[in-house]
Amino acid sequence: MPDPQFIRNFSIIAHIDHGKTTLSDRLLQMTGAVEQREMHEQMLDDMDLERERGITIKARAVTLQYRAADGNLYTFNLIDTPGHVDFSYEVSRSLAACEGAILVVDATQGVEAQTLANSYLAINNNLDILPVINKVDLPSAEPERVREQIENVIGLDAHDAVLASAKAGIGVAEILEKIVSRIPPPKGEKDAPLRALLFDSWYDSYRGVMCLVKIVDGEMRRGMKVKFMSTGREYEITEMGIFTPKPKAIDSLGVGEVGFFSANIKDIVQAKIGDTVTTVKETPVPLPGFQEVKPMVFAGLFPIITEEYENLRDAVQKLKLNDASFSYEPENSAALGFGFRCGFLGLLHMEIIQERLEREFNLELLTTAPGVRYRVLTTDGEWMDVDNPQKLPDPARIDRIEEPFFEVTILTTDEYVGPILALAIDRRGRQKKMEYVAANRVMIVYEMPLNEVILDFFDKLKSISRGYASLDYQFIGYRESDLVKMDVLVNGEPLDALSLIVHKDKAYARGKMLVEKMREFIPRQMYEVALQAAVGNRVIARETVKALRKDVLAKCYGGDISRKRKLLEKQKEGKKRMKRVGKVEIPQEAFLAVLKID
Amino acid sequence: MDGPPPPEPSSPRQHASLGAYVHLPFCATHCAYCPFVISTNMALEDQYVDALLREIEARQPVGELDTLYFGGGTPSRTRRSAEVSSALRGGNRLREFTLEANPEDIDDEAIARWQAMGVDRLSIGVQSFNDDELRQIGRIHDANAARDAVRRAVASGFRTNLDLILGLPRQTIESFRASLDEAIALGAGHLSLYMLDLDEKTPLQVQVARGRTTLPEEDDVARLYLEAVETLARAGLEQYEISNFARAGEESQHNLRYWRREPYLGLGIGAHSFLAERRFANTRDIHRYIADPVHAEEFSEELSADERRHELLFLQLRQSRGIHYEEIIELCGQEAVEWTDRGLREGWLRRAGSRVAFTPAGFLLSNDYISQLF
Repeated sequence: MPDPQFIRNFSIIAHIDHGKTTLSDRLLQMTGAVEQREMHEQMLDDMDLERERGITIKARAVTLQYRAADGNLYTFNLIDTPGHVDFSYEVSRSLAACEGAILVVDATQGVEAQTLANSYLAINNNLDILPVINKVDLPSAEPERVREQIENVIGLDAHDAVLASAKAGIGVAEILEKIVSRIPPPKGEKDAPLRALLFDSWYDSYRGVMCLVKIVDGEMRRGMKVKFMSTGREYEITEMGIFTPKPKAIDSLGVGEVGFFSANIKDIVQAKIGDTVTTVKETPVPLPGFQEVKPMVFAGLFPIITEEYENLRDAVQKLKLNDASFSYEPENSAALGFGFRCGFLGLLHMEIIQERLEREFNLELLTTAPGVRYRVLTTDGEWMDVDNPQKLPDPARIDRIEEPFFEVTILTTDEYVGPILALAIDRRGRQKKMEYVAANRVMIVYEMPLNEVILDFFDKLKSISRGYASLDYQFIGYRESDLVKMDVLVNGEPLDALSLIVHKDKAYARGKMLVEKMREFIPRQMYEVALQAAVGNRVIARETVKALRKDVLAKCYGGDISRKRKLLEKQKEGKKRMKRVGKVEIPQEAFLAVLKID
Repeated sequence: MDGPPPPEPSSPRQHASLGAYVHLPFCATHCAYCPFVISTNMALEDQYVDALLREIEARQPVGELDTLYFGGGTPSRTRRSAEVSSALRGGNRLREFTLEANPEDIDDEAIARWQAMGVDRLSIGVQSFNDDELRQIGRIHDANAARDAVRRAVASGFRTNLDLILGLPRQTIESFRASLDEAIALGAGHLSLYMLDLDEKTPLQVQVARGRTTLPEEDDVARLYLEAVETLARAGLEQYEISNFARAGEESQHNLRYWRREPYLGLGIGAHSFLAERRFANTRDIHRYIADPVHAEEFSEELSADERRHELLFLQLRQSRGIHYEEIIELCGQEAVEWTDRGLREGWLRRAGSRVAFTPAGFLLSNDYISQLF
């Protein structure tokens, strides 16, 4: 068991594409954890989807051995963190397992919103931060300007920031030495009761739930009985190990060490991230910072082919095994049949789940527009949570409605400030702060309802700033708003899955744009299709898709029956991607039209 | 055993009765709406006919052949068509021998030649009796030539079909009605009414896409189709298929083969065959065909059970007599019960004895409605 004074636990934090993954790979390679010939790009991201999107979804920890210039052999635990704001709680727990962090900033891009957000998370977790200015070999690199930004915007001392190029291998040796000299060793009581911080968990079909922990105090041994403090549940540890990055079995973990264990845990909900693992005999003070993760964004998922409901149910159950932050409950829509109301940490999380369901389980899904969870006080004085517009009580029974608000931080070059402010105001934002943080760089902070953020706010922000603005957001609490439920009627029948909760002042404009957009997406069919948006009994917008009078009556040229048959089969295929509601066939895009309105 | 025999071109000998389609691809000009396999290179005609004769010899379809159809292109322009027909039919008596003809080719000399060949049915590509519309689509004949041609054909004792197109550029409600009335008045026993189908890459499609010419409103075209079905019925021309109308006994026996899934052999470029549940077709490349007409097959498919089911559905349903109710239930199960009930209730379908068939309004949307059962 290594002496804690020779252990260094750290993360690498960076804005997306600033070089976190390349630097991780380089550290693995230079410490001999990965042979040159095994080296392939992006070692740490092991899910296909992660690799494709260039982001890390699940945290991983790798244990490395490094012989430093002082002659001692050090154990490095490199703890990888998810790089997206949807997973900020998971990031904060991963950081809590570290004593230090390497802050990577792109020398050509400078400090971005995620750099700032992650740096603050690291500072709040009392980490020592080692700034690295990456990509200094690029012609457009401006390391001095970036060094100033790190000092002025984040407030870190960057005079000895490492000038590096992870790709070219420049500065990596210096980083390894600075990990030893700048990042403090873990402090913990060897003889105190066991306290292990659970900072990641996942489901393995052979071993059950796997837990990744950092030992804060005491010792954890194979065969030991442990207790999860948030639930009080007890388990016997069956297997322990570390990632080198290949899994390697070990018998115990001591103070400051990072490793995984399995303990016949069947349900991932029992292994909550941020929980403290201790022995069954003792009850020490739990480690700080634990929270129950709650989904923030909700959407209905329905199989396009009704018969696939069972398959969808199996698929969401399987996904849930591996993702405690994803929630689902059965939903029965009059229009769409049986499906699930699912909860996600954010939009990216939602997209990932949706894509995995379609790709790994071969399902064709219809997703309804995402919404948030409202708190409703009824006239009976009772509070209820509403994450499905259909479940909103009758307006006469509502005393007030509160919706989740987020603080949105935007960093941008100053030329885009005008349009960004206009967008924020349009999305019911309230300005909290706006200041120059460096020459040409403005930080804008708004408080905004989450409901407005999830309606393509990112896409809009990106397009009006030509991709130059970066964004971060965090939950600040629930606030009262003047909200109404807006229904969409197709041929006079409410299409329940399309109901939305909107601010009263925006209902008319949004309803009008919504049905206009839907009309574009719904093809002409055998019957006229009337689309209406209504609040209560009041219709606020109406559009009509005229009936199709004829489809082409191609003749069977000289006995070419095959061509005609294939045309009809193709027509059928096209229909399969549409959802039949009553007599009307509605393509997926129409259900998401609310996301496409300007 | 001497090992497997060399691959032979499919021979239709085993069939009781057979139709043959011969593709004669040559045209004087390329009409703007035409997506067919045609050639305006008349210099190839001799070589092409030689190749056809070789294909006929290789397939030896003599014996049971009883309907013959010369299509194109412009068969009325092919000088050596008699050689082709005698090679094919030998001494066979045919139930029907159709030749497609353009109005400008129908004169006394041609009529005598076709009669000597045994042609008993002419299908005339009139398309419209409006000179402006004819010019728009690049036809060489005018309305007068069309009138003259139909009169001559009918007077010479041919069973006569007339092709009309609905939905042509510049066509108006009035001009279409006028064309239809003329067609009826000329006394042909058969009429094919096609809606203009804008195929990709035809010159007309390009013109429309670029806004150089406009087509009639879709709703008007639909209305005119329904009106035409009634007008033609009043004149004794009953609808028997989506696009085909005939006096009793004047139905095209050869075309009925296609819809009844009876065997037929296609000869020449791009020609399709259906023998023993296999569909196959020759190359569309005239040079390749001339080089080796005996091994010119380019497309072939054995039908899966589903594909056969799809064919039984749409080929029967495109006929006015429709499909036996029991058969559609057998093919599609419970879904067909609901499909039929809804169609009857909403007026897309009608009952005809023990059969279910499309109404004219149903025909207009039959692609959509049939494919719901696939």
